[in-house]
Amino acid sequence: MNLPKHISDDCENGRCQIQEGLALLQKLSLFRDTPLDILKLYAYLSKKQEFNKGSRIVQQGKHCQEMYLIIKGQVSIYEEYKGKNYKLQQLEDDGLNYFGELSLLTPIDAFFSAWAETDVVLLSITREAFQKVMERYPDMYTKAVEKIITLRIARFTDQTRKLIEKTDPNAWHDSESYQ
Amino acid sequence: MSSVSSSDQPRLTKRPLFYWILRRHHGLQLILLVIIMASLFFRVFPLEMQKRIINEAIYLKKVELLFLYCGLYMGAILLAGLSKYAINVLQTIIGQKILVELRTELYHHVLQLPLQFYRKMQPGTVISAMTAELNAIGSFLGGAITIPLTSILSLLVFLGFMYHLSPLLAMLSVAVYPFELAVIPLLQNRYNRYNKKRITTTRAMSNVVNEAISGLHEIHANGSYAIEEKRLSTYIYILYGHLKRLFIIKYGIKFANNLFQSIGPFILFLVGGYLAIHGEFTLGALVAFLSAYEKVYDPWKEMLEYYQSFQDAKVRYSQIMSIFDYKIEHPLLPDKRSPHQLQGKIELKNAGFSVDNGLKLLDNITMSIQPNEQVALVGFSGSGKSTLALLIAQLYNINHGLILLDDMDISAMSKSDINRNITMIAQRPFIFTGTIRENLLYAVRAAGDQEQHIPEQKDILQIIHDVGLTEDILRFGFNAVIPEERVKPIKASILRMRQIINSELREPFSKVVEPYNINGFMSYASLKNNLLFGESLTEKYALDNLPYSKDFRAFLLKNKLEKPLLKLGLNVAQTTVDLLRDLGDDDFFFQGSPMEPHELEEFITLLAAAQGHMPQKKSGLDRLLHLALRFIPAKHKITTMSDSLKDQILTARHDFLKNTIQLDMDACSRSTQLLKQDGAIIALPAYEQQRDFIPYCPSEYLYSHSLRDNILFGASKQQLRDHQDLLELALEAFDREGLVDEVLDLGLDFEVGSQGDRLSGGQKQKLALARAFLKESSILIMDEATASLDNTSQAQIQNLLEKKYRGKKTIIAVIHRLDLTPGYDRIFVLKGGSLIEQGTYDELMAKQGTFYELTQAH
Repeated sequence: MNLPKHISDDCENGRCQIQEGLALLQKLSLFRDTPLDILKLYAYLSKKQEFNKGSRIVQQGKHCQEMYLIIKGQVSIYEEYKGKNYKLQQLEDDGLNYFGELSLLTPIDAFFSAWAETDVVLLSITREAFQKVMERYPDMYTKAVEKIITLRIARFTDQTRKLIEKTDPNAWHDSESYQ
Repeated sequence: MSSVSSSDQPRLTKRPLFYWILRRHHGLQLILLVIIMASLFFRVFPLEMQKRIINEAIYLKKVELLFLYCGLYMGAILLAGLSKYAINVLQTIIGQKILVELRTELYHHVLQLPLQFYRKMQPGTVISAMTAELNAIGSFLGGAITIPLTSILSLLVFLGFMYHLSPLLAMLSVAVYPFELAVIPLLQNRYNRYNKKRITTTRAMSNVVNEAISGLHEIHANGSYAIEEKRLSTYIYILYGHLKRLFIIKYGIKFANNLFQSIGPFILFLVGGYLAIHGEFTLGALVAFLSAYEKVYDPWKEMLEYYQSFQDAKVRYSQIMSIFDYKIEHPLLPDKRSPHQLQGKIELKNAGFSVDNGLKLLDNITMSIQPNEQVALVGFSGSGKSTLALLIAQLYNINHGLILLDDMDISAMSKSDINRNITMIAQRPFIFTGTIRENLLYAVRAAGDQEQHIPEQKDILQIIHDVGLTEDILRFGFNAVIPEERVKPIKASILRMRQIINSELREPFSKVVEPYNINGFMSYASLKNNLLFGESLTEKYALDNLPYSKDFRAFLLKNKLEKPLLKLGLNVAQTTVDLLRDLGDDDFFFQGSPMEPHELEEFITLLAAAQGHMPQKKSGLDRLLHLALRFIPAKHKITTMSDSLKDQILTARHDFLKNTIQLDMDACSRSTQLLKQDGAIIALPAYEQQRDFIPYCPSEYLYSHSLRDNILFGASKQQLRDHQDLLELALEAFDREGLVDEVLDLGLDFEVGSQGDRLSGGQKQKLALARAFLKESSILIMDEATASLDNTSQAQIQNLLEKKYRGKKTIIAVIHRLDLTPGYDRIFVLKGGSLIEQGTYDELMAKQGTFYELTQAH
């Protein structure tokens, strides 16, 4: 009946979970310019979620309500197209990766699926939390949106280039029409 | 009230007020009369004693006579008082009994008035008439006969006594009465006039209030508060004007009365005194005379007051009766035969219907519907299709032509002929306050036991399934907090469901629930629940009482928990205040803290006073303890508690259960293990004696929780309603063992709220459909009865009509959605109150007429 003890005794005098989350959020390029007060709130409102290896985290076509930040493990992003799954990207925890961030801005159906490649620990922030915090700091909202979109474009570019590298160069025969 | 037939009595609204008083309760009224006669004697007798005490006992100085007369005097007074008391009580009882009859019969009449009547009548008027206005009459009714009788008799007796003492003085003292008889009716007439106006204005006021409350959502939506206030304030001021005048007159009458009353003694002292001085009148006689005068004025005053209240009641009564004075067209029961049993053939011959101003809503309709045929009435809005349905249901009466049901004229049929054979489902069905079950059985119960049996449980559940209400009712059942006596018979089933969730479905359900475990700390339960691991049925272990309970504080001290819990509370308070100081207006931000938004201010003050340290005051410490006890480690991110504290809490829990509750820990522990392995659940025999505490052991039912919580049996991780797949998984498992019906049965007892406002529009509609299907009638009329359902449900009902009720009922459906029409045998197309096309779907489509155009427009 005795539970295994670990180091969390240090957290006794406070804010441990929040501090832990805060430390992770601060490392994200997405939140680099976000004031500490706001980050603290995100850390407080975020949720730790665990997924077993091989389980699905996000299902393409289903409502996507939150952004995920990978604390531990590997997550693969797939695109389902004509009944087949195409792996677009593998996200590692070392680079402090995240996905689903567009759902913070608008209610969307997921345009990709995410699977746990290993046992995975995630930190999630819901759109509701994001929007509620932004209501309090309306002047920060535009900046946050810009940041999310800028990073998204970078990611798209990255993905597209990887796809091109993988594809047979002859597949792009109609290249004149792309300027 | 079937005993009230109309043939031998005048129409209810034409009966005079005294009809009600004279017709019933003769025995009681006779007893009353006897008591009154007796009381008269007891009232005159003391006067004679007064005279004798002075003239005989005192004058002749006979003490024994004084004692005798005084004793008799007192005895008579006492008896007079007692008889007065009896008169009052009897009078009220008679009055209220009459009122019960009057009200019951009037309501019987009011309910039967046709729909046409209520097109012009506002509900507020009816409510006001049935309640307050009738009450006012009630107080008059009881004394209607006896008060005047008593008054006249006592007047005569006292006058006689006075006359016996001195004819001259007696004549003088009644000399003022004729003046009063002239003045008071004059004033009363004016009073009556304003009284009528007051009643009319009060009714108008209730109508305005009634309409405002009924349309409150519209008022809120438009912010039209000022408009509505102005509407009412007009009436408020008019009423003020009437009431002011009314009371001026009323007190005028009172003033006149008092004036006349004091003129009497003035004359008596003047003349009587003069006579006594001159020895023509004994002193004793004068005293008795004065007493008699006082007494004689009472019945006189009573008569005047009676006259006033009689006038008042008469006005009110006629005002009430005049509004309901409307002929009831169809008797409740047929004359000298049992109600018809119809096959369901319907024929209309040149039927027409027009409203009062001559506007024709339906004109010259001729159509014929065969038994068991299913027909659709379609047409543009305002084409008269709903009116036609109402006419066939005898809810409206045609002005021209004929409607025949099984070749018999509908206008000659009684209400029960119609009710037994026709069921009507309205577009916006009415749901009554009560349970789902009561609403379902409403139509069946109304039919009475001679006609239809109360359906069996399985029939009810089948109909619920047919209309697609099963899932909703299951949810109501799962959410119900079940009273103890209802748990008992089904406890075994509930425990079985608990076991299914905790063994077979343990893995999938681990997403939403953390099972109770006596030997493990529970991250999703509050520290209070972790400590006590159970709850009291009384307030003894209620959260709000714990910080102030000496026993509990001693228990914390003993287990060295007080300090760490206070520290945790302080930590939670500090962090919450630090993080959420400016966010107290939004619940959302408080999801990660045990603090409630409304407590924020209080804790800010508390912490400011303590300046970063542990507060000194006991009240402050109690608050922090309260906060700590609410802390749920896995949900409240605001702080993290150490594992050593968790262990300490677990040890304290065992101490509490073992030593305070004296729980059979082994049994609970083994039972918890067995629950997981789908073994038998062990009851806790020793524990049964201590009923005020229920531990979280598998054999126990948690009475303060919903059925769902009892089945899940653990601390909630996530809302089950967000996991439809789990719900389906559980239902499937429960269904395999036939446990679902128990839950449905509980769900049927869900209270739907006033007019069903706890149900959605779709649920109400489905409930009304189920109610109609449960009543077995040969004709079913549906007035856009599926209009507020979604497409799937609509198709489900349509399928039900075409399959289950095919060949069993004549169905007339008023429908707006033309894609449903192919399922009907024939279609009637109405336009501007006339029937312009009829035929099968294919015929009408081939014809390319109005119906074809209508389908194309969609």
